[in-house]
Amino acid sequence: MLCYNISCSLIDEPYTMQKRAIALSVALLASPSLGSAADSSAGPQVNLGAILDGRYQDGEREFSETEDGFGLGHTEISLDANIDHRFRGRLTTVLESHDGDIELELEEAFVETLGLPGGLNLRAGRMLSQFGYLNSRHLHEDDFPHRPGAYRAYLGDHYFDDGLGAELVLPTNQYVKFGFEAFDGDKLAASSVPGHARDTVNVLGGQIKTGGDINDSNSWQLGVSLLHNRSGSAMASFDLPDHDHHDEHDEDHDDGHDADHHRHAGDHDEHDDDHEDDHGHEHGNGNGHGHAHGPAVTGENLYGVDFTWKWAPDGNYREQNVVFTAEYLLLDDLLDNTLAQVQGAPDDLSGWYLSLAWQFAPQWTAAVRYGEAETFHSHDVGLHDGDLEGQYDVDRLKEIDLSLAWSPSHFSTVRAAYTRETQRVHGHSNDENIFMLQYVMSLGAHGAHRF
Amino acid sequence: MGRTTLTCIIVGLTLLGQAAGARAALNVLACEPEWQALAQELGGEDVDTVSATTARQDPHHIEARPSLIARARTADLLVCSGAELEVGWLPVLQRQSGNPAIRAGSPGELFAAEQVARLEIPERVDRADGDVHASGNPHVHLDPHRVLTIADALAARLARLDPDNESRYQSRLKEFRSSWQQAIDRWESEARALAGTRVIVHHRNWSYLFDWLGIEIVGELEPKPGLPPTTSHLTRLLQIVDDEEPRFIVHSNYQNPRAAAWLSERSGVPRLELPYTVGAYESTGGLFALMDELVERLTRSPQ
Repeated sequence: MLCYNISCSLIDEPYTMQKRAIALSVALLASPSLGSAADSSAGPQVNLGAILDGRYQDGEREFSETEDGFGLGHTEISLDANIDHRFRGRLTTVLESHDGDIELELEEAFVETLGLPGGLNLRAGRMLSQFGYLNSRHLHEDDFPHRPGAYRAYLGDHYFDDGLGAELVLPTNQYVKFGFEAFDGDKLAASSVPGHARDTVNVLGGQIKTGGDINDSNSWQLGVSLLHNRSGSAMASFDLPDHDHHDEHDEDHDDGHDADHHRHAGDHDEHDDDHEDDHGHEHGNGNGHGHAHGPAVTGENLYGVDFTWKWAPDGNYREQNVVFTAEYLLLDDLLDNTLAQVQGAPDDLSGWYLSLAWQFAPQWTAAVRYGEAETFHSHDVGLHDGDLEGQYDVDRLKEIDLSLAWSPSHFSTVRAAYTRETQRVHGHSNDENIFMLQYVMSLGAHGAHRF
Repeated sequence: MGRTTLTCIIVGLTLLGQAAGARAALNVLACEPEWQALAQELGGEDVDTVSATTARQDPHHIEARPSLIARARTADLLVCSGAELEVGWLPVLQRQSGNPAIRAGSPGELFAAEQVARLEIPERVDRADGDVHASGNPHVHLDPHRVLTIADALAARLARLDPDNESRYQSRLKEFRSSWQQAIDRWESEARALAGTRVIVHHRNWSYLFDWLGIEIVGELEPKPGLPPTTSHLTRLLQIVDDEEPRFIVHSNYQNPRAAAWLSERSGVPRLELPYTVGAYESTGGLFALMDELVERLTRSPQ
């Protein structure tokens, strides 16, 4: 199967395609097949793949970077190969276009060990965090064009960063996997925490996963995850006056308003002009309709529980199958001790979703998902004449997604999706209907059938 | 903690350790039931075998689910078809299990299709041609002559991984070779009349069987390999039926019989379900029984 050929080769080693790595370019991907048989001298075996993702969207979505109208989603180019008998490497670049600008982002650039003893795998470089069920997956593997609201709000779609990862599978009949990771974590830091106040290693993560088969037809997996974010709590930019002493803090009045913006936490600095919010009393997550990469809210700890159940008659996924996924995410320690005293300051925020996808014929999948996610925003939080004033309000995003996908082969999907989004702000609701047509097509490397 | 409890724990751990040490058998994880059966024939009590898939599953459409990762974690040897049949999930198992014994390219990995000459190696590999395997057709287990060659390779591999028992693997191989060869002679004489028969198949998973028996494939229900049948393609096949006069329309036990039934109804050509591998039916519990059943169904079918 595998089987494309881009300039050279026929593949006669299993699972790999022989490619001149040096020949990698987008132009090459588009070139016609010039395959000739058994050119095994073509050099090292590198899996080369590209994902083309295009869409038409009507309506705008909270915490999302896709815009109304025609647009491209994640256009991905990936390289994947064994480096030698000890290491494997993977490189994934994502091209995104926004308002006519092309952004190039490195989503993955990691090396991992092959064959360390004791079921241990180590990774280093830039990688997707293994948090939860969805985070370690590429966006194009999903049954919906967008991640659930909880992932968009707390992880910025998916969290990837520079760092180290380790995984250990126990040698037991029952599948048990432990994961540990350490990341730079700047992307998840609250923007109110200045760079010099952040740790070198800002984010630590851990997961435990287990799962098994109930019988030939039914399989399951359960995971618990944690991302500990040392710079995740929003920091007040002022000190509360000490009431025992006279102080001059009133002059910090302007400064105090900075706290209004702390929820821009993960935003990239270079995008601040898109959605810098001059009005602290407005929706604090003002990036919702702009271009958002980072999370909308951050906290010190993000906990996750995920459960997946899959059914296929006799375990034969070809004809039909059902996939059920549920995840619950809890974000706590959102604010430092000062800001936590503000009226309405939330202790924690939670988000969850339930998703059911039914592949009812070999080429057709219908899916439905319901999810909620809490975020919060501020009204004029700051010091006013020495008193802590303003307040926080919690918002709740509710989404129901429907999707119908046609996949003529492993390598192509055309999808129609509808989302009804309800955002409760200031106690009243805003509804949005979002329609989307999407294609996701894969050139080259055969995708992995992960559970 | 009492001294008794401590002693109990120490004794318990020691027993566990001994149990693990006493497990001399090689853990063989086969990707498909046919290779589990072959490993069992050659390994006997020296191996513990398990198959990642059953005869009712399309081996291409499998996911690297938790139970398979757990099995791969403790495997000493993987025996798979190869030729990209398991490309979607086997590399994931090899990587995620973190088991150095079965990592890609190690002696703990044996691909059956690599041991034999393969049919249908495409001139060019273009996905517009469907699910074409660049290394050729991977369904090699249905040619008993090729199975002999694969058995030689598997016995040698078992002996390499477990040199203490080499003589036992060799003697089991010898025994298997002799009874398999006798069976081949029997199957070939029973199926002699089938030579020159024309058939329509659902998918190319019968190529080796029919190549062996001299049966000619004149059409496929799948418009391109791996793609589900379409009405327009089936309608075209009606013309082929008129021209070529196939004797039956063959599909495997795990394939949806609807397309075969549709064509059979309109063309009058009988539909024939065949067991694809070991375990498809109760009557096909082993490799010998599988081939017996295949030959029996083919020769018994309406003339």
